[in-house]
Amino acid sequence: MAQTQTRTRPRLPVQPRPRGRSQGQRDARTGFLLVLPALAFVAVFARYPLVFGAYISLTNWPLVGAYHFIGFGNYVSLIHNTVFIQSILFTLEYTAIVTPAILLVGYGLAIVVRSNRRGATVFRTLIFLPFIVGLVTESYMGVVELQPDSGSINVLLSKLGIVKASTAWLVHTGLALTAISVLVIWFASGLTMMLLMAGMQSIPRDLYAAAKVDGASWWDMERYITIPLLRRSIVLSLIISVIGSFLAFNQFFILTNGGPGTSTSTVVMSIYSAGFAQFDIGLASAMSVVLIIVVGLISFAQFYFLQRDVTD
Amino acid sequence: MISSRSRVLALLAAASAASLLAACGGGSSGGGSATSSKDFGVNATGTVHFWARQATQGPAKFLVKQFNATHKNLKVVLHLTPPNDDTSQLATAIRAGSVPDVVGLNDIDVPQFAHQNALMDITKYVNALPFKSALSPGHLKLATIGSTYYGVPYLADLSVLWYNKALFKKAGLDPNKPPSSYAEIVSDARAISKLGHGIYGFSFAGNCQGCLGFTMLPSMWASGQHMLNGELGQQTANVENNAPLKTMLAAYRTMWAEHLTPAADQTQNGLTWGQDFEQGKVGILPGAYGFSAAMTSAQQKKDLADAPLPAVDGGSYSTFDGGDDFVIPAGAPNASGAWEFIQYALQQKQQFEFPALGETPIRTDILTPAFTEKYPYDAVAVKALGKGSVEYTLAYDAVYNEPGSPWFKMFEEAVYNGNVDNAISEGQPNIQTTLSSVKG
Amino acid sequence: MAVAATRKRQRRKNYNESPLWLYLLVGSLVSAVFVVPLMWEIFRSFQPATAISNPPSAATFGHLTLENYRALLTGQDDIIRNVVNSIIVAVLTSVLTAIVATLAGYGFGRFRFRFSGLAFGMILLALMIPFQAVLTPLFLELHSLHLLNSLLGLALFYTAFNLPFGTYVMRNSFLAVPKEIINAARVDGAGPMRALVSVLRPLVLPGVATTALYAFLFSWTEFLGALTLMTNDGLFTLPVALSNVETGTYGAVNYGLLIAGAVISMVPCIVVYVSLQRYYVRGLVSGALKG
Repeated sequence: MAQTQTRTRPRLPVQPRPRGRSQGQRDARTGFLLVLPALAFVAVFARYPLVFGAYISLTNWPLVGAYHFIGFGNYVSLIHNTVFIQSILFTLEYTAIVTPAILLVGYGLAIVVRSNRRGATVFRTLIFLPFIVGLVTESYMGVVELQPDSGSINVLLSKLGIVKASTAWLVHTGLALTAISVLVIWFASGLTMMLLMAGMQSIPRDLYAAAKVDGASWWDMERYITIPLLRRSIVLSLIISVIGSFLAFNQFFILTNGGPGTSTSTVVMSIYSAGFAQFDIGLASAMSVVLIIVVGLISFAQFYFLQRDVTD
Repeated sequence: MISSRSRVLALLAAASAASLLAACGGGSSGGGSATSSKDFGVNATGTVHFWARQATQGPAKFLVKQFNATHKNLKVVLHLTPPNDDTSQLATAIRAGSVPDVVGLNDIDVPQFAHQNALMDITKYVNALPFKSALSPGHLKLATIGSTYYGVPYLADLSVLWYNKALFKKAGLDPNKPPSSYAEIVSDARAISKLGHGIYGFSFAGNCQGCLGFTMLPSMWASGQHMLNGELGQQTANVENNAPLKTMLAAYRTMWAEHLTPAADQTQNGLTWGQDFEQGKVGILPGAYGFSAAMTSAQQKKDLADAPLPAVDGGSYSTFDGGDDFVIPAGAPNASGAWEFIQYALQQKQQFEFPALGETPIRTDILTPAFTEKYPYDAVAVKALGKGSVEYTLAYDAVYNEPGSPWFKMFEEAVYNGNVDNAISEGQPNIQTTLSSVKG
Repeated sequence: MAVAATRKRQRRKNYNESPLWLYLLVGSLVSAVFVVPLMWEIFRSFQPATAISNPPSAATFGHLTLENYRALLTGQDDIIRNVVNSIIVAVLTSVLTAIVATLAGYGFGRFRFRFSGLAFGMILLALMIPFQAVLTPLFLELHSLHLLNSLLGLALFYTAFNLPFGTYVMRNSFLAVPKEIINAARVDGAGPMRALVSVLRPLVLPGVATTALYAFLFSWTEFLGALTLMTNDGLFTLPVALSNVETGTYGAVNYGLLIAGAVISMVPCIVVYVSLQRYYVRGLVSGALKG
């Protein structure tokens, strides 16, 4: 008889407790040693610069020249910095638009390519191609193809009667946001597809077989088997996607340069501008700290609420 | 990932005089020199690390190659810095204490470094140059604080007024009389736009704040006004009472509203700037001398011509002194070798080759008949070099080039939204705020 | 393995899956959305630069040229060297990342120890750092570690920034392994490392492949870091070298060169991607269980 796994079969203990404390201690030590290299890497190359950067944020560190400690002066100035606040709001808006879209599209794609049927591998590669090519190159392509009158997107869409041929996508806030969002969804869905697909492949097929015998429809199977067991992969995709959107820079820099005005300027663009146009590295660092805190909080919230069964 | 929107388009302001930095100490102020003044820059040995900008790599590569071929004991190693990171690379190198010997720095960035004592004082070496009076005054000014030179001009990237003689003729205008004021630009553009069939009278890079500054400011300077005045670090903005500025913005507005320019100009961010003109579709284009590199066909050479950017109200002309200055960072290991290389680069023989490499020389005395014959387009630019200028400030990028810059906001409000007066009255406080916020 | 595979094929037939032609049709349409724009751009790379600022017309289809590729390959002195640099860094990064992330994922996924949650969070933190923000401190730090202007330094830096993603993926992979398998291995007396190598490895290979692939792509296309940490032109990686050629006198990007450069850069990535595909074979888990 087909048996469904985790839910109905009695669980065996994870680690044979009877071995006593020494086994548990050895496990703890092994575990710690295993993660040590990763911790070391991250500490040296990511945490140290971060801490250093946090220190800089408490100074008025200029691009060149001497600097002085100014405490929280930079942070206080951010409260009144309308451009910075506007960029945070814009980044939030952008993230809210693309994140669900990438997840849904990626999930749909994963369903198509997860089997080992003929053609699946080819489809996988083709769908993943935009991710391989990279967002920067594709942003440049976007600049050209979104030009009024001469860009192929305008030509195509106007022939289909959807927009005017002279639509200037990149200098109108709403249109620019639309165009960039579509571009990013097109680019990133491939990665989400891969992540979800890898997760889907570790779900044992007998579960599906059993459900089928019980008369479950395709949608039932997705809803009650796949999605719950895919939770970790979904959370991973969401977190990557959200963080990526929050840190968005290149596509906006290339396509709109934050314009018109600063209406499509993201947080990292503000940081860049503070650092390299106003030469105020201290202020830029303060902005970065705020950004990292916001991103950290949101990621933590996602992790906590969506993946409550963190440890099995 | 790549982020390379060009700052080059933005502005190469000021020529900085290349000052000889003879500092050998590790400090950031000029230290004692190991070689005496007489030997400085003569028969130096060893290696010279030269950082040049990727955007102006033509002359850099040429100079390095020629120099190494003709100097046995001194070798120059070239490193190209990418468009948006040239200043940050230099700044971090200075902080880390390991600087190159000579840098071809974007001239608008020189004041910031000079102001912070990060560059070597080369006043006496510059003054000793026999051709000092021929050096572009605008470029040199950007490397000057008081009467001290912290750099010397290296190459120029100038703006000119391009116009299409064939279209002029077709529209009934005299092809040998390019517009000499903004009023004439507008009326000529009207006449040419009447030709229709995809022909436009005027074109501009309407989404590239740097390009706009590059091509509009000279006309204002030629009319006697600057936008940013005063001592470095304590400057004031001159927008409200700046009549030439207002006339220019109004002219652009008129041309845009009357569709004398292609619609695509609004999104032109510099990537394909000038192409419509190069293809013969535009009558007048304020642009860069460097567009001449694309004018290779006989037809283009016959039809397309350049002229100096006229004063808004006519009667004079000017150009934007973009380009690079040579600077020697304080504490450079081989400052003597650096100065020897710099002197080589400033010789007429080397400077003569610059136009073929996409840049303009910075010596006004290069304008010989031979030069004019070989480089007719550049001869026009060099002629304007003597009257070229810059906005002498620490805040050029913040005011003009950066995303959401107050300069661009003013332009958008005036030209696309049609509110010239509002743009000016808002521009004054906005620009002043930005000006005051840059670290001085 | 072969037995499981046969059974897999048999099982598939029972599945009432959609007919092949329908699947291929849907799949092709979906893939087309992703691939056709790129194909159009590849076509563009064979167009002369003047064609770009004009609307596509019948005339432009005629004039194709290899000029962009020629200019690109001859524009930078010794571009082969840059390609080699990129390969070295990318391979080093993906191997290091795969190893370290797998170990860490194993540790987080299957072992309990104090502060493991905190440690995991610390590693994830590296994912949230915008590079532009830490440019200066990073440069200064690496300068004092003598890791500037070194391919190894760059690879170590890339590894560190890929570890959050890799660790997360590997942790998920290990958490997804059914406990029966772990216990079976334990009962057999295998120590944790033995268990990892012989039993768990095939099960977590898709995760390893994903990690390695992502790390490879990241380091192959990464630009800002390579740019900042290298001031020796001979050590430039491909993206930096290409941008030197693509960026013209005005820093304006030569679009034709850019696309040609992208096409050239794409090739090794696709090769790596395709070769890692075989680790994504489905059904390994159930196969192992039945056995």
